[in-house]
Amino acid sequence: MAKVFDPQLVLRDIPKLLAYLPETLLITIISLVIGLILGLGIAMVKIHRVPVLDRLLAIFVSFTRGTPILVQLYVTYYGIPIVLQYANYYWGTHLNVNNVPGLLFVLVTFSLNEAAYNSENIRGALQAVDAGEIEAATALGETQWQILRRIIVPEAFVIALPTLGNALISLMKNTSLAFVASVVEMTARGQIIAGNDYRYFEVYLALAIIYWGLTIITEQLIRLVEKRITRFQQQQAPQPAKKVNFNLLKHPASVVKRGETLD
Amino acid sequence: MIKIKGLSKSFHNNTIFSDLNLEIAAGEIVAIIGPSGAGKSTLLRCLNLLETPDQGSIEFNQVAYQAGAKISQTQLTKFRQQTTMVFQQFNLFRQKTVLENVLEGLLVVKKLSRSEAEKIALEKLTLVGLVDHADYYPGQLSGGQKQRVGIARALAMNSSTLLLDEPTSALDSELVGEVLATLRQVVLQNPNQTVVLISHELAFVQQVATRVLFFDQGGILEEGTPEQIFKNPKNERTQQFLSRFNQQVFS
Ligand SMILES: Nc1ncnc2c1ncn2[C@@H]1O[C@H](COP(=O)(O)OP(=O)(O)OP(=O)(O)O)[C@@H](O)[C@H]1O
Ligand SMILES: [Mg+2]
Repeated sequence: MAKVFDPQLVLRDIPKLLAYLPETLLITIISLVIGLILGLGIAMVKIHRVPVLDRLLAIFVSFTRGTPILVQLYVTYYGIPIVLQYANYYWGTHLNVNNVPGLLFVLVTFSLNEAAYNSENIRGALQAVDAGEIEAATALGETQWQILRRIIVPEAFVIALPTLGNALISLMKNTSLAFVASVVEMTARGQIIAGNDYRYFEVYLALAIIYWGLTIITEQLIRLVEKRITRFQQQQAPQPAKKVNFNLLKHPASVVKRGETLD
Repeated sequence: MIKIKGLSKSFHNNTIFSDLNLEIAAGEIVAIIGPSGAGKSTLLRCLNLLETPDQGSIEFNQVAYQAGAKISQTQLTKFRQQTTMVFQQFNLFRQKTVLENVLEGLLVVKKLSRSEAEKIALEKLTLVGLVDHADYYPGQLSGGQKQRVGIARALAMNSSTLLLDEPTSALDSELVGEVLATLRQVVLQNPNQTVVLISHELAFVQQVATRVLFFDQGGILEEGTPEQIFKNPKNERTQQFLSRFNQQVFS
């Protein structure tokens, strides 16, 4: 009997598939970054209750969360060319309807999906930042932009991180749907390999192992980041190795300006 | 020197005070006392524009604010640098160490070099007795220590006026003493520092204040030296407030 299952093939396929890991990571990272920026924008619109726009965005978020991402990919894939045709018709532009790069459909879909999923989380995190700290920074004379950068975003990030981490992992796994728009990343590459040698099980097993490994690595990275940015929550006193330069205190007497001694 | 002219503030339809006038000379230690909800904090928070006054003006030596007029970011920053505030709830930056808390304004607002800023920050932390806690995070400190960091952070900015809004009222009673001791020392060591203080620690007010304002019903009902206000209050509401207070203290 010919080999029903060939473990050698799994090992052979893994490096072939990993050659397309950069595509998978590229889609993940670009969609994550654009998604977070748009998500922050949606969160701001909601917090400031921008009229009309916040209703429209609420519908967008509800729609995105209420439809499968595979369907969304098809909607973008067939929808963008139609939009371009209308644009060409009404504004006389000459956009090439048939030559839209597949990657564009994928990035648009995943970014919007990411924005919709994260906007609520980001809004909640921004609103959970301690108002007292914002007042303290304001009273010191910091500008709103400085406060956003130095106080609000770092604190909101700590609050939002666990949820953002889960979203990142789903996003990474969802990139396996990019073949719909004929983008060749790891999964699409796997389909091509299997199409040649008909060893479907081995290829998909190899893919499963890779995605699983990626998820574990990502989880560990998130845990590391989390540990680093939540140092301030630790209960025990800091290590005696001080970063403070006590040489600067050579003349502590200059502190006591007049009259009284320190006790 | 602070000149407050015709200052009014309301929240929605709730008038907190209107047409308030007050002058404070450099080096004065002005204590504001009065019942809860009278608007003491609101007045103090108008001085650094944490609340925006509806009408009137506030003038420091170098910069003035006129309600309703546009103010540029530069002017606003300059205005806010005339004062620094110590908050009832400390409001330390929880993600920053004690040292970073004190450095924040020096680096970001005053734009000092790291070494200049550290020198000042360490001086002020020495002054409040917490230099050995420079690497701690606020979460690792007691309430009294947190507030002393708050005081160091405020002093580091070296502004002409220190604003203190009930600096000890969030503390357990056994921690109040250390913070008041630190404040007393700060006040005594810097005769040029103007202080505006809201406090229910009347014994402390009596010790350090050069002038006491009784604030109630949307305005300053009575003012005078601590001696005058505590020993011989003229206004009926001041008398009521103080007698209720004394009853609480002695019961
Ligand atoms: N941001 C705000 N919005 C609406 N109302 C407010 C706001 N801040 C304060 N108030 C109201 O203004 C009034 C004065 O408040 P304020 O905090 O100035 O009083 P206070 O004299 O400091 O009292 P306490 O001794 O309790 O601190 C209160 O009735 C309060 O409810
Ligand atoms: Mg108050």
